[in-house]
Amino acid sequence: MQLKVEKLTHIYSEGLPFESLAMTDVSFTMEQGEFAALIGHTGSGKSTLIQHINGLLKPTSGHVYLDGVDVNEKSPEARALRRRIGLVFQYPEYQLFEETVLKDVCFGPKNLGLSEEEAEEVSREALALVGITGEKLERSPFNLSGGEKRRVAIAGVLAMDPELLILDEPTAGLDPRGHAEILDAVRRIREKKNMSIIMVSHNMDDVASLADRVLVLEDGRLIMDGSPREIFARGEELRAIGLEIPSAKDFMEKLAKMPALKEKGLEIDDGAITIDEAQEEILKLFGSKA
Amino acid sequence: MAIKDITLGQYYPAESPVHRLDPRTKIVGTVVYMVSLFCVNSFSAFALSILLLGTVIAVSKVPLRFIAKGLKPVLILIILTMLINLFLTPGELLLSLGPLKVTEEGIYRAAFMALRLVLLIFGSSMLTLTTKPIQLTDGMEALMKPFEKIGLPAHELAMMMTIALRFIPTLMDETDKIMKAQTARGADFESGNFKEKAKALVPLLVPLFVSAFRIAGDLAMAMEARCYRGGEGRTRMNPMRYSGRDGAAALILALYLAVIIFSRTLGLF
Repeated sequence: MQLKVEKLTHIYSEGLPFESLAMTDVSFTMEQGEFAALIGHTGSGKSTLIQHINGLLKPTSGHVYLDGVDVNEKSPEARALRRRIGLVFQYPEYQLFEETVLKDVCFGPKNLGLSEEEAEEVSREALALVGITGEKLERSPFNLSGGEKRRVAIAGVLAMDPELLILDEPTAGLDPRGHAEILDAVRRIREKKNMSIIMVSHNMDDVASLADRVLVLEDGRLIMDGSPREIFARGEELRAIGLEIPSAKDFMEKLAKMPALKEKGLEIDDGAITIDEAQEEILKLFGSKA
Repeated sequence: MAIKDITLGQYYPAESPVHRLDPRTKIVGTVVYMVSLFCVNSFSAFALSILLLGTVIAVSKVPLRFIAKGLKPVLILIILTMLINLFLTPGELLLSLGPLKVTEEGIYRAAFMALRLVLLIFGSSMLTLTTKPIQLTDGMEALMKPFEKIGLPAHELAMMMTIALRFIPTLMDETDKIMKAQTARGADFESGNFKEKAKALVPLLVPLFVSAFRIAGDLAMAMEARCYRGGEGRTRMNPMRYSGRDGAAALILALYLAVIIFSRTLGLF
């Protein structure tokens, strides 16, 4: 589905002494199947923005449209569209509550009105997609590892078969293994389902390797919007607002500045943002020398 | 779902002499003021009470509408008390509506009661509006200290209150987060009959309890790691000190109390 955010402005606690402007005049459009990464410093409004997309927060002014329908309309149409959005919050494992993993994942589909059997079927499928199978389905969700709990929570949202999946820092606070498993799950979801995905992330390596569009928020404003290559080429600006660039890109930039390379008259393109791209560039260098 | 908008402890941040008063002065002052309200039995004495509280409110810079919000939950109680007093006080008959009789004494008592309740609520709200919850518990601990000799665990009680107050916003945030997450999974907390509503709370309460225990465990660990072992010999980061301001406040209060008591016993007003 198409997501269109138009001049979105949000003020928390309007009219009280603690009033604060969280979102100012944010506009962008996202088409079906796009994978956008949302980056920004802590407190830049990322969580505020994504909560507007399924109507959990109401804009102070501006609109959010899904396939041309305002999500905040009271019509059954808007209600149905809101249900097409799958929102996975930060630390989603804290929302688990059922006795078994399978039952917990069934909670969403059952709320959508699916029968017990149908719910179990879609739940098993969703769990397989995030790599949870076999006897783990009958375990208590509280007895799983941190990474597994989180994947179960993601499956809980996936089982509702959303058209737009929103992941709010899905890898925060996980060990490297848990981190890799979550990314694998995201990749599988991307391949198997034709879902649009918005991922909030602080890890620029993940952003570079997964996303095909990057939105940069700063102080409640959308200040950059483009392909990862375009955005990460503006490293100085990103650093100025407390963000980083992918480690591969950082490495290539440093490499390109090496005096030894200049002395030998070698030139290297520092545009690579992933390790694969960097490798290709470096191999080219060897090739030109040989 | 505006859980964040609920104010608890309802501290109103401002820079004023009332805010800067020592919490002990404010707690004792509030208690004295409340007691004085029950001694008052004439309109002129009430005028004095209103004048005192009005001055405190004006000096504190807390907007009146903020204080008036505290009246809302007890409005029904006030109206009920007024009605009961109005109709059921024996005395000189003024008006009778079937079984209901309005007497002169009834009108007085109804007015006194309503005034007293409103002043009680305003007075106690002023304490919580101008004192941070943590200062409040510090003040209470200091005031309860003398009773430690007879076995009252003053420090522990105050610490419990401090922790409870400190974690109310945290648990509110947590509730808000879990509620949103479950709403995103299609949970419905609003519609349905009582039984359905109670059942709908399970996906909220289970994670909330899990969180609460986790937070409690973490806090206990952090306190142990810093060698917390109760109040014995403990010093404070911000020791409470009486200042000239507190002396002035105590003096005003003592004067006020004296006038009220004299006027009652001597029937001055």
